[in-house]
Amino acid sequence: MIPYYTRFFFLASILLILQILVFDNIHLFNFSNPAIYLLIFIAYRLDLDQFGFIAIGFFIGLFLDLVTQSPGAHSVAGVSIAFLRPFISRFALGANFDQPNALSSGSLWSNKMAYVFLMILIHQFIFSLMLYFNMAHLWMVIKQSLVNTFFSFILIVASLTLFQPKK
Amino acid sequence: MQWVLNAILRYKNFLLFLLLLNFGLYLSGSQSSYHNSQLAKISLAISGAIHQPFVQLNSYFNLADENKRLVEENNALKNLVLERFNQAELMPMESQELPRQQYWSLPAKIIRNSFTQSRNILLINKGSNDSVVREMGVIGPKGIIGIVNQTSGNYASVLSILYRDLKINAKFKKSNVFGSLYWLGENPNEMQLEDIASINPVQIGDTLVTGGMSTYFPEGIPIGTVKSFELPENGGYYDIRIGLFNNMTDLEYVYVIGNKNREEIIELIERKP
Repeated sequence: MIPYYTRFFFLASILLILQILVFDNIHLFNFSNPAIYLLIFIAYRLDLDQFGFIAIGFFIGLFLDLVTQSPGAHSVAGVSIAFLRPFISRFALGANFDQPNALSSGSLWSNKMAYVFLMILIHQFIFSLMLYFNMAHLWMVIKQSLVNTFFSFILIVASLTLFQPKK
Repeated sequence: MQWVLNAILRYKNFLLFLLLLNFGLYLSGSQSSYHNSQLAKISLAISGAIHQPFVQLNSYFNLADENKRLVEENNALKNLVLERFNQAELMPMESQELPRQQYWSLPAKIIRNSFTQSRNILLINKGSNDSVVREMGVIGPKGIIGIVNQTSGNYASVLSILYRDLKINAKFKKSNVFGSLYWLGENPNEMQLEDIASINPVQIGDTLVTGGMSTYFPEGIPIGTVKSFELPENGGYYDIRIGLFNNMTDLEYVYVIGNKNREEIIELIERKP
């Protein structure tokens, strides 16, 4: 059995490479990029220590900032979503919020979808807000985060369904 | 003392979050100095190295389109040469001497292009080893693209004209009226022109070119045409939308423009009276 962190690191690297080389080059309606790498934040085991997860969130964000030349936006969004995740999972998954397998089994489908949706929406909202950094563009921020959330949600749910562990 | 330690241990997640959040905000808040920093150079080198192989692969698929574009550009240049040639024949011999060439250009390939953000940055595969320095202008086959922001050995980052805080000096080709051009952050093919007083006549389809009031671009590089305009009831300035000539979303090859007199001009501007 391969240790969890090795598998996680492997998966995260693949998702980040996919994001940088493929999904950042998809420009829907000329202003939206779907964010497949959010799967890292969503699929990280819910029962593990949050302290490390916040650091992981920050470094993933920092890496994306360096590669895509967007100062700070990915880091802030990444660290925020890592910090907010227990609140989101408690809200969306209810009693299962800290079960390691809450995403693959043991939760209602609607609860899982709510968790995934909220994670993406909140991350994308913080990310767009940081990019524009100006309340005068709030409408653009909302529009961009909604469109990004919609397409990322479809992608992420599709990949979660495809790669579901066998029962 | 014990309770301080307990409190830190208890809220360690929150404290780590605050610390890292502040660091992220610091990166974001100090954009200009951030870009100046060493971090930006490291970032540029990493970013360039990651995108380069992918772009090389990708460019094979665009060869046909790129060829067509080159033929069009060649044709335009050929026409320009012929025009010069015809004029030269009519002019007396002594005035045929060409003015000292002030600008030089260097072809470069775009390896990363973003236009979905509010501040877009392009990466090109020419850097300080090819004598590219900060604040050089970058133009495409049909008009201006942006300004070089940061260079590493083999790569340079370019502030695209689709960068919200960037204002570009521009003028109308027919009337020589100056204004400043900036991006509203919405449509990547559309920009806003301001500071054009209402006494100047403006028509839809008027051509806009660079003003030559800065050291970035030579005068007369095409930018776009007037798409729509309106005169606010109270104000004395037009509200003009410009449609760009360059399609900023499918760029592949660009030219970096160097100004031989740039240092001289800058020194003159900065010299105290």
